[in-house]
Amino acid sequence: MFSRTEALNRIKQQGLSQRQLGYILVTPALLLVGFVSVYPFLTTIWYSLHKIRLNLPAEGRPFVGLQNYVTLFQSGRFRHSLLITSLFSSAWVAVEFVFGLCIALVLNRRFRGRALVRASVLVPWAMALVITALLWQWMFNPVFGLLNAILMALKVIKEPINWLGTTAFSAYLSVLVVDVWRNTPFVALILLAGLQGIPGTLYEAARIDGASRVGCFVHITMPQLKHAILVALLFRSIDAFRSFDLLYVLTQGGPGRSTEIASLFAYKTLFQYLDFGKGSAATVIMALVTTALSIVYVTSLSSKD
Amino acid sequence: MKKAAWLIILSIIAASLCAYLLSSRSGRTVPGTGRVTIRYMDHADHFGVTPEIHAAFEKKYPNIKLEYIRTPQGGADRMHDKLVTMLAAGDSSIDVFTIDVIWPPELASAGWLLPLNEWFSPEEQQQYIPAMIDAQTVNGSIYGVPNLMDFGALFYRKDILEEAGLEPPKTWMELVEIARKLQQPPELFGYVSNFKADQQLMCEYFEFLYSNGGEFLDESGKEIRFTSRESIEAVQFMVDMVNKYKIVQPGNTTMSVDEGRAIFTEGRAIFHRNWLYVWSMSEYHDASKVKGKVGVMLLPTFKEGLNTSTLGGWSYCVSRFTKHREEAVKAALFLGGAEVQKVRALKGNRVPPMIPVLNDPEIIAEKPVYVDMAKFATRIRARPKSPFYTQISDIFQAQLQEAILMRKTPEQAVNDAAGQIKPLLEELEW
Amino acid sequence: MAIRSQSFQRFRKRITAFNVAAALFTVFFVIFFVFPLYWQVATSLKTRENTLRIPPQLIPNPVNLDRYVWVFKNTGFPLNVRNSLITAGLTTITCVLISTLASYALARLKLRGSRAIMMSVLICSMLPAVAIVGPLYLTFRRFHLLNSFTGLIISYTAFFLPFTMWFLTSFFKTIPPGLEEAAAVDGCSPCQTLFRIIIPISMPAIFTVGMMVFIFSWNEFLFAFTFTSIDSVRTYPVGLVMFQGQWEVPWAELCAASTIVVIPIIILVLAAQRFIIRGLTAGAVKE
Repeated sequence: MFSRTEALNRIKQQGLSQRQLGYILVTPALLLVGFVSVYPFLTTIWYSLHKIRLNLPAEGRPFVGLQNYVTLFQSGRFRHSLLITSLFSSAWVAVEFVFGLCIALVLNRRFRGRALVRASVLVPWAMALVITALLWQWMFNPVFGLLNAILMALKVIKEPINWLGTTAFSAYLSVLVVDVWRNTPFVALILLAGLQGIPGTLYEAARIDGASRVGCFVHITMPQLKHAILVALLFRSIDAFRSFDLLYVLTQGGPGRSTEIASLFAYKTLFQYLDFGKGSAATVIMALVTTALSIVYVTSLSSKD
Repeated sequence: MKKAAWLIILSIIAASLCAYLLSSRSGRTVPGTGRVTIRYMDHADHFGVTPEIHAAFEKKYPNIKLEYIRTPQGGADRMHDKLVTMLAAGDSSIDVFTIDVIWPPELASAGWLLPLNEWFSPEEQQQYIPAMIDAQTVNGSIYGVPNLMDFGALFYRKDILEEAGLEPPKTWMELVEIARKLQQPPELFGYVSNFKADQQLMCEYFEFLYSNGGEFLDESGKEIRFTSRESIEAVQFMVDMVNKYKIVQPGNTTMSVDEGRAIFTEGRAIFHRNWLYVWSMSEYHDASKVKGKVGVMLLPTFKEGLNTSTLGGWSYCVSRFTKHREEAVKAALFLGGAEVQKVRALKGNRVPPMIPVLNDPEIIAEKPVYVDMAKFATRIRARPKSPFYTQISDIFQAQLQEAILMRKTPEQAVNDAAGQIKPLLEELEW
Repeated sequence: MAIRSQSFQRFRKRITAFNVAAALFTVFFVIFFVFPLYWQVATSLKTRENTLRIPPQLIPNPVNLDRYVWVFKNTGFPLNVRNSLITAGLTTITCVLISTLASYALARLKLRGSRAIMMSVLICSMLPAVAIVGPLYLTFRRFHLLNSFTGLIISYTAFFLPFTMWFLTSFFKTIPPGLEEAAAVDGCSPCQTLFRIIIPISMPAIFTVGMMVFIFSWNEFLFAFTFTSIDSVRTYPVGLVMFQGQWEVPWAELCAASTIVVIPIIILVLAAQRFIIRGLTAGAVKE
């Protein structure tokens, strides 16, 4: 006969080991991610190895190996879309990083009304992207739009410019503005958090040594911020690479094919051309790129320890 | 502050949990009664006629209940993509949906639409405008009940032309001359058009092409005809309207149909090519500044007698995956039937695609303009029928835009399009 | 001495110039971020004639509330907002709960391959949404998750999980191990330690994460648009997109409806901005 406390002790000792408990706690998360992304993605890979055209069901779904991938890489349109995507994402991330860093530096100082300024930075997050993209499109509108009206009133331009539809460059620029508006706050906040984690004693010591502002920035702020910078770049560049909704609303890839990024190409191939084989192959290629990016970043993040 | 924030969060959580538990997932059949709910997806009801239509239906079929599902904005393209996602997965949550005239070949050959031959007899079909029925027919089977007829027309400012003592243009060149003479951009644009890369651009191109005596594909739909001289001239004319004659509003490559319409009903354009809805928008919309000043006419042409309007319009189809086939078919036939057509024509200002409704004395008395519009219907042409139409037009649109933006010559643009479209058509033969 | 005070003065002067530049920059970016919101509110208050005025009217005059009345009278918008509250609220709970458990295990319990787990979760979440939407639709249909809150909640939770897990894991790593050791000496099991010690002191971080998940899922569009097609489960961004008819874009009405839902969120963000920053500082960027 065991007494009650003894029994309890036994359970405590024999019960779940830390490791077992750990696996139990992690399981729900893994199951969910498996159900929502891994399984569908495996299906996508399977599709990408077959010829599947929903509008020609008579063809059946023959296995074609890597043929979809070969066709894609032979098509100038897909290569162009990959190029545009890389160009866009690097431009977006670069501008957002510089702009976000400046904002973070400002927000890290003490001044009156800081709370309001900080909150203003969070405004783009609070608004739904579908609506703001429409709103921006409306502001860019060459007849009714505000932007042209302001620039014309200021005598910067003589005639209204069709920002989203004249040249590839003006379309890039307009999309860049909207993306910067939307995503800089994220970069700024992460960097701000990083700045606040730098101990003030470091600066005091440097000032005693007679370091200049620039010197402090180069030798203390930047190295200390390394981790935060990596985090911001990680999330932003992957997100930029796979971004879809902004361009879907703003330009749909136009004018011509100037702003057709890879995700738009994949979407069109899947849901407008009904070519599930090729469309899936395109998304798999995109996924490979984002995976490679994630691995690069995550290893460089953890190599710091 | 902290406490308040927590209170807000906690109350949101509690409220949402309660609402979630309370929201019962309504089944499609009412237990015990055998009553079935049919969901149909349809355009926005601007004039509030849905309750009337539902009441009439449920009176006729007491065992079926209708549930109206709105279509998304963003034009036909977004609706297309939404339908495709649903149907590709065999989803049965929508039984009846309205589709654009150009989709039946694509959706039917994918096997997603229910053929209606059994229920929709040839005699009944004869009551509709033939072009509409023809658009719903794929390989001899009928797939849709026409619901809304549409085609391109030229809207113009009667008052401005009268003041200048000019007649409405008969040819495209006349239109250009009048527009150049009378326009005062940016106060008054000569011609409002939509060269945004969607179906709108294709429709306008077809009107220029056919009125110049050109063809897009051959009879069989397998050979390309759009590299002809007529086609290149048509494209050149579009390029010139924008760049040489400068009569088209700025932003024509990105504006949606309705942004163009807004310019016209704001009274800032002389000519406007659009769908018939512009008529009711200019006459009946509260914000219209051109009430009573608008004329509507057949589109001009290049060569005499070749005036062409592209066919638009929508029809009700039944999903192959519906679990209540009979009921869904009844709903589709009713929604596209004479009773509903009449209600919509009178109260919803939509042009009915049914001949008996167009000839109805009440309609003739109340909406004489429909009779005029129906006359243009003899000049209607449908877009090419092909399971690849969406893809073909996407390729072609991009090239047309390249030409309009003067990055390519019209000749180069159509040839580049041909290079991409040809392989597709070859696969059709397979 | 004289030299030092001179240089000090110069230093001060330079600081002032710097301050002016910083102030100008601040004004610029505040306007840049807030202007679209202002424009939305202004448009929603304009009269019908003034919405399409050329050039546009900067300040609505006269102010007019018809659009707001219209939104409540003629649309299912209140229902959509209710649906959004349900989905966003429950997503937040599920996501925070699951990720707290998982992060605790990853940060504190000696798991083999915890790094690999974290990494694979991160990678999965970084897959392009276009790659998943089609097959996921099929899966959801099989499990009867289309047109249901459960389906949306599951997909959102999985979607935001990697972010919250990664964030909370790095936060939990900053908690001094001494606390748990003391708890273990007192006879607490790891589970008890989690609920009695770790969670209470991590509240700012959990709060921040929860709030972000709430806002993200509140505004999410693509999944909501794809996986729901009936009004009784449509969330508000989808509802807004349904405002338009076949042709006309009701600009001002859209702006009015969007303003109604944005203002409470902005107030929430304003009230909690200090927590957000503190939570981020504590969690996100320290290793």
